[in-house]
Amino acid sequence: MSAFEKPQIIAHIQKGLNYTVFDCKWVPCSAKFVTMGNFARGTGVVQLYEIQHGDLKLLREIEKAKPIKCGTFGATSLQQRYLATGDFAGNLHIWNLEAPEIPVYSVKGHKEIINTIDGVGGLGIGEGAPEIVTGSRDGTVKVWDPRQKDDPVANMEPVQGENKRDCWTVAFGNAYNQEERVVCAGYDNGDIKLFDLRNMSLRWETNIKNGVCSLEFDRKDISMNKLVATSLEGKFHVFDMRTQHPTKGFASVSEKAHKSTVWQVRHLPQNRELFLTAGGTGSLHLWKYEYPIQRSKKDSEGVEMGVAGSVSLLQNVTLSTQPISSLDWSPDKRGLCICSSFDQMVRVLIVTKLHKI
Amino acid sequence: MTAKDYPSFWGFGTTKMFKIPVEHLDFKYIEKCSDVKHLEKIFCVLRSGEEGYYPELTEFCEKRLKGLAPESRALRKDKPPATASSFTAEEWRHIDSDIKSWVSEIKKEDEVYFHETETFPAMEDNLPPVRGSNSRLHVSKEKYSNSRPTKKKIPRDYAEWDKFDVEKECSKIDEDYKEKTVVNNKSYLSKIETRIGTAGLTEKEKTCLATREKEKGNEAFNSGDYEEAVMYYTRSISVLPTVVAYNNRAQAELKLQNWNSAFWDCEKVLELEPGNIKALLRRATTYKHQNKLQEALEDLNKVLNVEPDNELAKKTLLEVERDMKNSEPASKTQTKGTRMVIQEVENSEDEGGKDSGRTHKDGSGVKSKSSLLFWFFKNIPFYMMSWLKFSSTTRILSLSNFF
Repeated sequence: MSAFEKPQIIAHIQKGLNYTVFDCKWVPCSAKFVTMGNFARGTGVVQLYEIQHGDLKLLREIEKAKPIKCGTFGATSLQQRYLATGDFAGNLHIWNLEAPEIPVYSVKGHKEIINTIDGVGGLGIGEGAPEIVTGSRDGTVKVWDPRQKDDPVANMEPVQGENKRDCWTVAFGNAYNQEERVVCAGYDNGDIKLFDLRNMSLRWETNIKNGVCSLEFDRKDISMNKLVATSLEGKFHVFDMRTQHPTKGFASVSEKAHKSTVWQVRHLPQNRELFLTAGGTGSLHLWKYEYPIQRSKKDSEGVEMGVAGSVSLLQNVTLSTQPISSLDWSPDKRGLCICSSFDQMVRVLIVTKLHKI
Repeated sequence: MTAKDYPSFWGFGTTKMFKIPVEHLDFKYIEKCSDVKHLEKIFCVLRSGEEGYYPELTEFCEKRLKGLAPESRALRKDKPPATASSFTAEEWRHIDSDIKSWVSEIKKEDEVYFHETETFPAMEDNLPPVRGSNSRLHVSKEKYSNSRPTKKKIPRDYAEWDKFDVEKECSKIDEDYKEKTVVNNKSYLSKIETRIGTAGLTEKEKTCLATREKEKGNEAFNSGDYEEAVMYYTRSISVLPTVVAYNNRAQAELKLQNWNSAFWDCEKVLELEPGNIKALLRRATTYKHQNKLQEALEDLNKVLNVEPDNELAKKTLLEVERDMKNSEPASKTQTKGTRMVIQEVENSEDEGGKDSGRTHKDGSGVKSKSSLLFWFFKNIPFYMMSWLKFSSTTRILSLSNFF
């Protein structure tokens, strides 16, 4: 692709905040987004911004007792648009942003900080019941249904006596009909575990040698196609999830980038082969995945095994000197995304020419 | 000459980074060097400016590296984000106005849609029940124990080799190759619902849902999963039938060679939008494969009337004509004979109609003598043409003497 046809990443709006921001998410069907973090005084904050006249307007600021680490709109309906958040004390709350004084749902889910959260079944994505999954430093991964109080619907925890490892990231996938669903969890020692929620079993596990910072399926609501796992030491792996070999597991291709921790990966909602990775040196890389000629082949014993494709870099930019901790593509506008970084900035980016790829 | 041949006296004559001999930082050396890894190291050293600032040498090295290994990681540069200056004035205005119009549009929708519905309808009744409560899943840290590999079939000692049957093994291998390696997990296809319940959804939600399913179908099509693509297009149509979804499904059915299903999808499109070019082209293809060549011709001509430069139409037309000649029809023919290599280009599409560039050659570049003459005689009244078709080649050749 010549330089003129390559997608360009434009920093459309940049805003400095007066708190540490951990996560940012678009509010579906709108030009608004929320940022979550903590003030220096140790309280949590959620701010609601809207894009107006080429700048950001603060619509609402909500302060809560405990710092908020992560949030998602994934399990809410399009009309309600409730935000589910996980905080430093292990509480899971679901907030109605129009009336944020009392949470719609609240549970002390974990003993330690909730590092990561994901939702499925809302917003018209994923068949079946809306569910939220949280992963925590206490080593457990719990799946919640907002209709069931106090108890999770599924709990993935280490066996008694085993060392518990921090769970750093979780992702839902394979939600193509009402029964099927998988949860993939990444831990700080490099473990990736794939739990099948329909038969409540561990479907696959592997270890990528470095702590897993972020996991994402390319689309939550189709039969598992690809899984991207990013890790420390500047590597990420793309697994082809269509063919599982009984011993070798899933085929994968790995790539080195960013020269430091790859903090986040986000697939473009409008094209599952494109994804953006955010790095510890404040850089963003836009990648495209290409499928191999044959996605599966038979090994020497005649058992099917997958063949991984290849990843190519489309564009890269450096936005800051501090790690970019979170990224989110807008589900409504192709190419619009927000990112937040540890230099207390939130940026709205436009990526051009994505429809041509 | 490699780097190892040069003696390194404690950093004398070598660079600090990577210990490359200083002599290698030279135009002539870089030109001759074809070791990509070594070139990458040289490039890193030059770029870092440790040994001095040599812009032309750095650029030369970059070009050489790009020529040898365009995908090399060393070529990646840290750059700041693009700004208005990276685009032409026209492009920038376009990007700017695009985002502004989207923002105002979505704000309007937001106000209209969400503020009207103050009381939200109870959607909970439609949801499936809560998953079987409180199931615990204990995960041990042990890896799966690797089962001992089964005994190899290859014979190991002389006695076994005597029993080895070469012919049988060869035929077994041949059979394995003949089997198509199909993606294994097709069982999920039967588990996907073909119809989506749309009770209680507003028009806007239905459009969103239908578009999502269609996009999923497009993605499956682009990665070669045509059955999956058909499934998603069917789902999209069950929510909200649209011309694009029917058209795309027709294309996917063509790839699966389900001519009849493709035909009915094209019919549906033409019912909703008569004169849709893609539908006409695809219907012509289904006719061609079902041997209804006359109808195929009519469709193709309709297309060419609207778009005389349509490459796909012209190529399909040539194929149809060739097929017609090979069979013995009594129908009239109109030919726009042009000499072209026949290539079938299948496009995948989204609403923007982009090409995915998946082409496969329909290796028929054979030009028979009669097709040559058709091209030559295109102005002859068609009763003569039909007569010519029935004659043998030798008679056509003899006729040519009269003209």
